[in-house]
Amino acid sequence: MFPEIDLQPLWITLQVAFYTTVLLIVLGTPLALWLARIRGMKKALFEAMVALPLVLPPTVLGFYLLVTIGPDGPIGGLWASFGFSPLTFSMSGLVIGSFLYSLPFAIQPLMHGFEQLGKRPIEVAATLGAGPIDRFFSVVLPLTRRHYLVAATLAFAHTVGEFGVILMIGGNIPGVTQVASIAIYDHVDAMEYSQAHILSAIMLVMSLLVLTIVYSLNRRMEVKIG
Amino acid sequence: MSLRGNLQLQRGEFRLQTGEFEVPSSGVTAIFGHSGSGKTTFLRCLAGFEDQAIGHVQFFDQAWLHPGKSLAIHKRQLGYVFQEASLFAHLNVEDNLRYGLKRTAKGFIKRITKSTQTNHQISFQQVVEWLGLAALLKRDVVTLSGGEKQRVAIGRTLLSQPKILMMDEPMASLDLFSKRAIMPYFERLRDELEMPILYITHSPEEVERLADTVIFMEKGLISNIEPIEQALNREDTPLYQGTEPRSVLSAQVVEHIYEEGLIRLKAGEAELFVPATEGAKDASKQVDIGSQVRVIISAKQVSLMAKQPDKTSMLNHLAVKIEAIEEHNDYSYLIKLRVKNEPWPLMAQVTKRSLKALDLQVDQAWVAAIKSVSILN
Repeated sequence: MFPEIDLQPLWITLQVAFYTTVLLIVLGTPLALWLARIRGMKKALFEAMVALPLVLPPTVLGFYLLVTIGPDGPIGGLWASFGFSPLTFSMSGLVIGSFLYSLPFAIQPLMHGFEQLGKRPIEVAATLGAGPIDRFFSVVLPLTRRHYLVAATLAFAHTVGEFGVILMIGGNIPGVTQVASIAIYDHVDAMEYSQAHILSAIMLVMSLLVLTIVYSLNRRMEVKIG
Repeated sequence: MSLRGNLQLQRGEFRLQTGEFEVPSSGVTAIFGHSGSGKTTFLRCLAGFEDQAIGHVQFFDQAWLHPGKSLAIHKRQLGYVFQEASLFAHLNVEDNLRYGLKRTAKGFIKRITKSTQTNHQISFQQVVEWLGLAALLKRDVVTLSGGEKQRVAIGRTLLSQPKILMMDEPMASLDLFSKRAIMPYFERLRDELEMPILYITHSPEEVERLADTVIFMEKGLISNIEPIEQALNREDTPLYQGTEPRSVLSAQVVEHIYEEGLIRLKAGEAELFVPATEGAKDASKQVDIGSQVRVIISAKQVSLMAKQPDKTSMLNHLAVKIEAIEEHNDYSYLIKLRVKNEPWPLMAQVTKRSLKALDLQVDQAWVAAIKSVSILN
């Protein structure tokens, strides 16, 4: 028979990934628009900064986050002075960490989408009487929707697979900050192979399902530029 | 004058420096110059696409650009047609056409209640009819030909109810066949719209057919702004650099002589007979009695005679007076002739040998015999 298994980590994983993705799309859009517009050294520097989480060991990122958003850190201290509960070892902390960790996966597809689109459609829309917000929703978004799909998928998937950063800033508090990847590690550590099997299998099937849906959507969302 | 200003822009090695300029409030103003002369940069700065442009631009009572402040493009009520049609790929033809129209709907109600002398709105039906778009409305824009795309782009721009229309070589990306097919639409727009049109081109033929005023550009500078007849008749006109000298007269249509396939014109005091072109059989292109046309005459086709000939196969012989004589090349002179009451001069190319033999002098009266004459538009 199946052993008793706690599915809470799965639920927390999905929550973190969902909030992180929403945040990345909303805040990542203006950042990617800006990156697509600038040129030269400035662009190289900021692109590199956005890409940092790709090369840094997650523990390095997690360590710096811990010292900045921890109760004694500059941001964490300010946060505490407003009377909020600490960011570290909380769901909010996990989302902040995941946001930075998955930033390049959301920004890069969006930035490429905006660069590929060019400024022409936006100029056309402006001469036709559309203001900046109107232009974004009526022209830019529909023409870069595939890039948004890719950005959201990668950000979500990457956050689901996160381990090191979360361990550094979120600890491993069951029911609060224990995500699936860490729970699996714990089960293996405790020689509970059947629990690890079940959680891993669920993750595998779920990931495959999500990606299949995304790829089939992707084909249908194609906008021929011509 | 509707649109005036002074613009500068530095981009790498290139510098745009227009000086003070003014564009007439009606008719087509062509911006003419070689590639690299800054035509597109000038128009883009005028429209507000270039953030780095400095100077000032005033359109009627609206300040578009003055030091430190630029009016947002979507508030300028300008229409801009790009070289490439730049249709929205995610919308079909009809939705492309309606994009600008939808966005004027709210502002338009405000405008008509404010002033009773309404800018009469260009309707969807009107544009579809003018530009022949009825069969295309439900089509996906990627399935259109180049000429069709450009017609949709123009229609979309017109429907946004602009107060001024700017076009950046709208025919440049079209093949010869599409160009010929779309030209009549442009002529129709020129005749039916009351708004000023700025039109970039490097084709003298398009200038001849469409323009009322020409802005000449060279190396980022505006070298001249002048009426079309003056631009066409100037001997050093940049329009015909390297081509044969010719003159353009303005004339009035007096009579259609259908049985002979001719049109009788009056240019100043003189009469001209011109073949009604094949195009004139087409009702839409027929030139109306009383309308003004431009006729073009190559200087080589004009010869001088001492008096009206008794018998000749040449139809056109005009009484003229010599106004000026200038050396043209090794073997010939250009003679500037004047038909009485005609505002524009007639040029004749005469060999040095003939000039000497006939002893041509300024102020003499002669008869100019013209072998071939054609109507421009």
